[in-house]
Amino acid sequence: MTATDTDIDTETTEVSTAETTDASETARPDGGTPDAADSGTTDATRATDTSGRQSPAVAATGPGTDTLLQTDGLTKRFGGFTAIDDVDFSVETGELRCLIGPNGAGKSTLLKLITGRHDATSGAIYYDGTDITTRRPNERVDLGIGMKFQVPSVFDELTAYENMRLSVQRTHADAHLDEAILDALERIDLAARATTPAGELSHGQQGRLEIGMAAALEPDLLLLDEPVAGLSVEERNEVADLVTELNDDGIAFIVIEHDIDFVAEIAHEVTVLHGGEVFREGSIEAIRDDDDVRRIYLGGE
Amino acid sequence: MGLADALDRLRRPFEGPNTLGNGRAFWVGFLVVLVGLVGYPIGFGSYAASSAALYLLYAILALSLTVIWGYTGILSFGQVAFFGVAGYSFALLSMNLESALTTMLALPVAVGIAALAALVLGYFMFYGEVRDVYVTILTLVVALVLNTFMAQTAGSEWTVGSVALGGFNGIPAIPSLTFGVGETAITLDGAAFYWFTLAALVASYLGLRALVNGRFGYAMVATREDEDRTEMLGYDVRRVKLLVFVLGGALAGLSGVLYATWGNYISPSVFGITFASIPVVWVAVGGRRSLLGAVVATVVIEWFRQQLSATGSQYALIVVGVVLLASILFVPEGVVPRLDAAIRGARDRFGASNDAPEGTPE
Repeated sequence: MTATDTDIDTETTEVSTAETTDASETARPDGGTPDAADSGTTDATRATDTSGRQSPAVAATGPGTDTLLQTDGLTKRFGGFTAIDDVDFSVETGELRCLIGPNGAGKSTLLKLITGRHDATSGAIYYDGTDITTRRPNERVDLGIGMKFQVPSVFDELTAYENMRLSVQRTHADAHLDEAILDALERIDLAARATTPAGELSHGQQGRLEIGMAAALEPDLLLLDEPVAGLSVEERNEVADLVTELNDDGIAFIVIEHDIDFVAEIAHEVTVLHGGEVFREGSIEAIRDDDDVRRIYLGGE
Repeated sequence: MGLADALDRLRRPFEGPNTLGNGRAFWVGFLVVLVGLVGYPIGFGSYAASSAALYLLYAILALSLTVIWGYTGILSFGQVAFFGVAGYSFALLSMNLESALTTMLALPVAVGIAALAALVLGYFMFYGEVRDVYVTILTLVVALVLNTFMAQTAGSEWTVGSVALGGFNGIPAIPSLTFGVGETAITLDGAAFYWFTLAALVASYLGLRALVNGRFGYAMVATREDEDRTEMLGYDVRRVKLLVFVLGGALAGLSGVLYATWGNYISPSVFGITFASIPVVWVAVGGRRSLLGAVVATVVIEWFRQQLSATGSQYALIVVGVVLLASILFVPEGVVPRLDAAIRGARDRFGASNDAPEGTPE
């Protein structure tokens, strides 16, 4: 047992060191990041206290930790281009995190690595105590990761009702299916459009339908890629309300968004990606006032 | 109205947005046509019934392509491979094991062999991420390879048990389906074979209607519309495609066994390019997203082809080709869905709907 304990201790120390180093690299003294570093350390320690020998996945995101998702040295190369470069990124249970950064920063790539649309070149992704690095996209969905794509990608030829059925039938028995589908449509304010083909819905309605379908799978983590791009102010507010409501229900979010006002409205913690690396992490206020972040957004290095 | 309610409940599992023909009017029509088909041998005799049985067994082959292509979006050009594999398997099994039990047993075993062949081919295709037109090419190639292989089995070294494969000439004298033993055995030929085939077709049709309107049917349709999106709803699209492909292989196999016993004969031409393309024509003309369309188009086109051949015309296939071109150019969704839309349109216009429950959710 002693040997095992030592083993774990070493492992744990490595994890916390890595996180602390990572945090200190990216944190600004005036930002909110020390929080993240702290929670990283305590999580790892707690995980070791409660159980025996652990995989890195359990140590990072298993029971007893507050961390839902953790990437460990995650790297993605397309040929010679490194889109995501050694990223350690974590999201806590129930958190709402915004991901910002200039074009080509690697935001969408990071999301696609988390959903399994892309395979990682190296590094690992831990989710809720499981190493999901090589899992297939549908397996990750089953584990509780939902995704809304950048371009609304509902099934155009199917009605709103049929679209929602595809999602709801995965979590409900036949007897309650109809009721549950209508409830889910009600929640996103589309019950009146149930028989309309999804392709004929407005852009905003399609976006809501897609978020509603992802939420109906009862995920613990929802990834949204630019959910309000191209929407009117009114539609934007509807999406903000929906996201806030779902987040209050306990679903964690990672939201890619360019609209900084929208970000300020929904998020507390913001991660800035730049050149495939985590550039800053902190509260929205700190990030908004950060001169370096402004500089990369305005272009130049 | 207790009886009407009971009947309404009975039809519910077979109805939904994924099939044409929902509502009482359709099922009344369905029953009328069914009664007519059951009575056909009585009115027209055993010989006519025997000819018609060919169209009905072909319709099962058409259904196999409809679920794979129309509902799941995978154009298989090689459904005839499973048709032929089952036909040959049935011939070899039933002729090697000559006892009264054998044809009864050989039927499900031959269908199982076709399904197994589909499982193996489908596994390598779908789990190897072969997609779109490559599936079409690969399935056609499988059929053509079987065609070439079976055509060169003329030598005496090509026997399985006591049965010679016969090369280009194929295997003659395949026994008819026989049920029962000894004195009480019923051999299915003429009208009896027609009724058996009709029952198999109706069962396949109704079973597929229930399938495509159920959970799995929605997964099939979603896979057809957008595989990546479907995966993000937690469906394993590789598994969906494989299961549909195996189901299609089994149905094509059933059709192939019926074919082998219908003419008591099978030859490599069932794997040939001509026969491989015919199911695509049936399904494209009838409406590839319609089970009913596939059945109707198969029966009409095959009857028509038969009439042309009977009058000595050599142009039957050319005419069928023209029909295919015309339907793709002018009725891309297929003839039967177009007719369905026209009937609905007419009914809406004249407000003559006395079928209130139709189209309204429960």
